[in-house]
Amino acid sequence: MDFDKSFIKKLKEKDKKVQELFYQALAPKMYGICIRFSTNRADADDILQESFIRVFTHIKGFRGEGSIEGWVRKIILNTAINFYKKRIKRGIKVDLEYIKPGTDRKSFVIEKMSADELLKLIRELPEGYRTVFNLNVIEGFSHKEIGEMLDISESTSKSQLSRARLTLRRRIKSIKDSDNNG
Amino acid sequence: MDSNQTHIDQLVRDKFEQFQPTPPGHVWAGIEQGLAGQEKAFFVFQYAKQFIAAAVLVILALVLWYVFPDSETDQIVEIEVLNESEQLESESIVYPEEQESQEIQVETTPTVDGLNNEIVAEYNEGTTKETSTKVISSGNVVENNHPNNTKDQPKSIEGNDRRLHALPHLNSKSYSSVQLSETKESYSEMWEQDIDYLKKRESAATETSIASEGEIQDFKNYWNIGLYFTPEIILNNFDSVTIMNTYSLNIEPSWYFNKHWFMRFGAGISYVRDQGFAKVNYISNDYLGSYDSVLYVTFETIDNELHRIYHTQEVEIWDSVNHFVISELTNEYYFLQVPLMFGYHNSTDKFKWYFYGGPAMNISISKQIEDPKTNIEYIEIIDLENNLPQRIDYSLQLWVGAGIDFRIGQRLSLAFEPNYRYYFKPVYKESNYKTALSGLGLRFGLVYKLD
Repeated sequence: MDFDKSFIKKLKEKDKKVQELFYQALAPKMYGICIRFSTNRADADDILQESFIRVFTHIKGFRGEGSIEGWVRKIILNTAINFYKKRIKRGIKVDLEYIKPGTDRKSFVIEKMSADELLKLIRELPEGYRTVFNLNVIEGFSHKEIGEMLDISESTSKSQLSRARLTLRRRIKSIKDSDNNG
Repeated sequence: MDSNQTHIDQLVRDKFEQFQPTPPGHVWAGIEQGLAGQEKAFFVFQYAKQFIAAAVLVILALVLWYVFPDSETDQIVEIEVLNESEQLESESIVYPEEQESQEIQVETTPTVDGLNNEIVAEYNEGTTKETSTKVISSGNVVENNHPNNTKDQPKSIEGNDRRLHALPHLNSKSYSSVQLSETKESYSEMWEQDIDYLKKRESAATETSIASEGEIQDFKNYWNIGLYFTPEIILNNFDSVTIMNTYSLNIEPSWYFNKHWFMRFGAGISYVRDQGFAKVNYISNDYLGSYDSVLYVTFETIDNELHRIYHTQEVEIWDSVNHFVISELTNEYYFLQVPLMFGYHNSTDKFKWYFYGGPAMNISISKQIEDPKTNIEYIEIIDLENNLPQRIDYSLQLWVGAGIDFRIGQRLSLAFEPNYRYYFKPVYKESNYKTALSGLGLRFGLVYKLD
């Protein structure tokens, strides 16, 4: 998706009609990210809303060095991370009991799953695991970058990712087993 | 990380790449609400600037009016005289410094022949006003209607030791007034002249009234014609439309049918521009890059080592890319402007001030509507949305203004008029732009007085 300079210029002039067009063009893709980072749809809605308010408020800060879609994506991620940090401050703990050892790696199961089914698995992950998994596996950030973003150590990021993968494998195996039994 | 894990990660990424759920409608409503709160402060600031500009104009006009209500007020003493036989009421009098300024209280009963009048004068010696001395002097109010004074008829009020010349005129309140100025002429010479002249004009004294009622009766209605140039800013803000400054050039005759009232009409051309945009969503086949495709692999032994040789071919990647483009548009209009104004005016020696109001009509005579364009060939336009509304062909406005007209010649004068226009009905055809416009303008006029 490409937005030309005239479009960006109008966005910077805070033209409401252009803002709406911009939102309509990008919101579905960005909403997908929000859903991946949140436990429920209400949280995803909040992240999307807050992110786009930030986008339109700070659009003058966009210097046009990269794609505006990438710039919006960064804002979405930052908002999601801040959301995660606030929840952590409010005392919501990462559920370590969720992790249970032992499962097989069966990539073909993932291939057969729809995005919604896979999303369901990811959203069932404890918050900390889910955030690190999203940032590393899907968004492609390194553990060092994730550590800086989430104010955690690099090793914590690695261990949370490892546990997230373990949890997913276990869930995939259980789905596979239930399919075989059914 | 093993290759299987990498493969799973890639599968997950691929799954989510096309995952684009539609967000619920209340999210956009929340965004609009959040942005509206921020913009409120911006609009308050914007309108504050306009309000300050209008206030400055009003204050400037008031200051000019207050400072120059009558150009002679502070120059020459004024005494109000209602008519020749009525008693003159006491009034504070200020002399100019160059004429040995004195503050005088006059309590007298002047008559035309000026006999048996008593002048009570309270004045400051020299220029020091703090030390006032009350001097009671007997003197005459003598009509000093010198033959060489054809218009104004000066009078002299003589005390024991000084002489005042009285000059009847109309002051700003339209009362007849007497201006007094102390002179340093030889009192005896003046006295002789006065006596001589008094004898000659004794019989006609009653006809030459101190009051200037004649001036009111003598007012002749007249015409002038003005060429006015008006830049105007529109105060309204519309989403997706920028209303540029409007420029008008008008020729307007004015008829001054009364000492204080006038009527103005005429016609002019008004140039109006609206800027906006159209959204163009198109798909083009874009070059995204290239890669080397391996056609086949051969093996060769070089220096007793086996080497793989890849035979490749560069492959270009083209794909359809969805583009969002804004096409800037400018619509231009020319309107015939027909005002009909009624106003009140007042004059001093140097300038005339006035205010006016009335209806004005704009009738479209020409317009240029710009079409959206992309400047790119071989594209597939999948959505085109023109967001620039078009204007209605006519509009009715209420036009109010105030002005100052400075004389620069016998018949020529320059006019400056801040004015405000309110459009009674919306000027755009589209239903989303129903707010009535209003604008602030500053007119510059060159006015010629006709016979």
